[in-house]
Amino acid sequence: MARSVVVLLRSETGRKLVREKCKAAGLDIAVLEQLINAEIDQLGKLKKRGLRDDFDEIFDEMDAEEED
Amino acid sequence: MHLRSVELINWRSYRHARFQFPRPHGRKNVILVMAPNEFGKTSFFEAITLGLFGRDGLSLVPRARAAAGHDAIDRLKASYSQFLSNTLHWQATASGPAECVVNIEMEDEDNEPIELKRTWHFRQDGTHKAGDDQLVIYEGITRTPVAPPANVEDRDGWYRDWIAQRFIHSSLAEFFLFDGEQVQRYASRGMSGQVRRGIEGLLGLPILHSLRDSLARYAQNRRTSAAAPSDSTVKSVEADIARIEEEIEKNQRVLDELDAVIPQLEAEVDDLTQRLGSKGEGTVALVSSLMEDEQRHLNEASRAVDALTNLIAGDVALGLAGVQLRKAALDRLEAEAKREGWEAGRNEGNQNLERFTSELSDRIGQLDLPLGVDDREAILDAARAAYASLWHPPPEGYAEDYLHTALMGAMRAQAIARLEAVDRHSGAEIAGHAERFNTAVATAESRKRERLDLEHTAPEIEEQTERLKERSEQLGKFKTQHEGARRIIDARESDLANRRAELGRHVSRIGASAPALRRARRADQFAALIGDLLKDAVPSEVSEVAAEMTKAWKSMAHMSDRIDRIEITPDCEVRMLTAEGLDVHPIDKSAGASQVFTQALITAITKVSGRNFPFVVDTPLARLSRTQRIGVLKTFTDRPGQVVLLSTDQEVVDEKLDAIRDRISAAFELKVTIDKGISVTTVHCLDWEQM
Repeated sequence: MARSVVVLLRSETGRKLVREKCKAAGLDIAVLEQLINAEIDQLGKLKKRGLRDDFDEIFDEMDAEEED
Repeated sequence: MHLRSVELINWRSYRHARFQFPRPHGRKNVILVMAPNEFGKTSFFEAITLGLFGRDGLSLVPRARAAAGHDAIDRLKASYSQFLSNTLHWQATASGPAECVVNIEMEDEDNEPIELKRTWHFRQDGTHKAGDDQLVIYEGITRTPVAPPANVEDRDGWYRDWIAQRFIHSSLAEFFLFDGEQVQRYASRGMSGQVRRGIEGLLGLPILHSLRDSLARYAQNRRTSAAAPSDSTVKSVEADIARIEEEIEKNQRVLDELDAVIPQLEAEVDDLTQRLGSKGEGTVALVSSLMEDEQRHLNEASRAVDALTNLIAGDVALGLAGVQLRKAALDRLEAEAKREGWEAGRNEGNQNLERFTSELSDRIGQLDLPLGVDDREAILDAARAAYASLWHPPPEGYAEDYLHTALMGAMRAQAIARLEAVDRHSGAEIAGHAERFNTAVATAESRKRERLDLEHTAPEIEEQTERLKERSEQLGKFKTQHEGARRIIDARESDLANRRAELGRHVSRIGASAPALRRARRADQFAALIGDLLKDAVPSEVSEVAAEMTKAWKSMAHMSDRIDRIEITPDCEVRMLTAEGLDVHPIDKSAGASQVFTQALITAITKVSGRNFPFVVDTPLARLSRTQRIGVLKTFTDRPGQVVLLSTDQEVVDEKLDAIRDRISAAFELKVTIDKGISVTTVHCLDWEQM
């Protein structure tokens, strides 16, 4: 879903740019896409209910994977 | 891809309407929908937008957006559900809960139909029933339902993804579906802001902007919720613990040292006590006591000797005189004592006799008696004789004379007492004195021997006693110190337990807050990453956008004589260059020129995107000059894809209509009728060639 909305992630050059930036920051591009998906889920909502829980889940999972 | 039909049921003023659009062919790609204001053009635009994108399309709907300032991020003034609650046709709920439907049929480049049917349900009061929305998609001539696989949990997400891939993503949609107000909003941002926003929309970056804001708020929230104790608080408690531990350790060392010393001292004291005990506790005192006792007995012996000596010197001789002699002497003395007493009485009486006879003589003389001098003398003599007779006879046993004239009065009484006392003495009394002497001397001797015996060990005992005293004092002192140290340790251990518990609570809170803080840090990291991406992603598209903008600008603005090309820097600064390279920027600040610039940008973005998606424009020509309107209309319609142009009945007329006439494939007119006081929009095909 993230790639459908964020064209940058879909094009070859754009994805390369994102990958390089993620690598430089020590972050996983897959996690970025998860965050984008969570944000996309909130489109059209006045209050982004549940977004914080989604972020919690994503970051906790990320940390758990790093610990493994 | 083009729209084949749009069917509206209970959508705002549309009770039931259907737009049927011909497939674009050749240059004929324009659908013209004309109507005066308030006749349903915008409602139609909203139906297409929300019908295609659902909730994601809300930001594209002018009536759902709050007024935004210059360069401000668009904000919604109503939720999706709130907005929808106003879309239901007023007559729809006349007979109970109702629904409204937008059914959009499209056809892709392969002439395959795609049908999206969205149904929104409403309560009888017209409020939208969130959560009951339905989306049904059919694909192909066979109308095959499009649905997520069974294992997909996020069905909405899946449909959103499908629509974005099959049509366009919502960020790009604002360049294909827009109204005149949206153009004005864009124009108000300034050229650089517009270009950046356009390119970001092209790349789908607005969602990254939104995500970055969400992450920043999320990080702040998580930090706030963590509310962990500060480092200084924890350090303060840790310092307290260290201080208490040090104090306990110090006192424990004292305790350990005393624990090592005290038993030795106790053993020594016990030993000394035992040793001294075996020799008689307080030997020195005992020696002294013995000495005193010895002396006391010697004194007693001395007193016994004195008593015996006195006895021998005094009474023994009288005793030896014998009882008879002592009795005779005692009788004689007592007889003499009687005599002395008698004589004393008689003499005293004689001393008063003359005063008596004189008194008597006077008293007789006062008597009226015939007495002569002789008589009176005789009476007086008789009285004297009578008086004298009081002393006669002398007491019995009185001495005729005095044998012991030296012993008169008290002396005689003492001699009598002495002689009587001698009778009370006995041999036993002397023997008693002798015994007393002997006993005292013997006891004194015994004490002396005992003392002498003790005096042999007295110096050692004294030394031991002194040591015992010293050790006992030391032991007492150490025990006091021991108790003090123990008390301090007990008290400090209690403090320590409290402080450790406090630290534990802090650590626990820090531990509990750690995940929140870690999440906040993660959010910060991704927010920073997104900021970096937003900065670097835009420049990749600037040159292509600039080239397309140049074409659009030249086509729309009729300023080709001045502007040769538009250049966009990586920072999205816009330069409007003449053929000589002169930057004529800023462009004419008239509202029309700004809108032309914006529409050139919109055109450029849609072209650079390469997406063949219907271009739906609602009333785009406000504030434009006649020439600009013609230019904009020509430019907008000069594209291979379908263009749905919603226009007032005054906008696309005359020469403007003529400018695009050859592109019109169908035209519709919206009319409004009143049904029971409620407006109802109806759709009518126009014979555009006759217009």
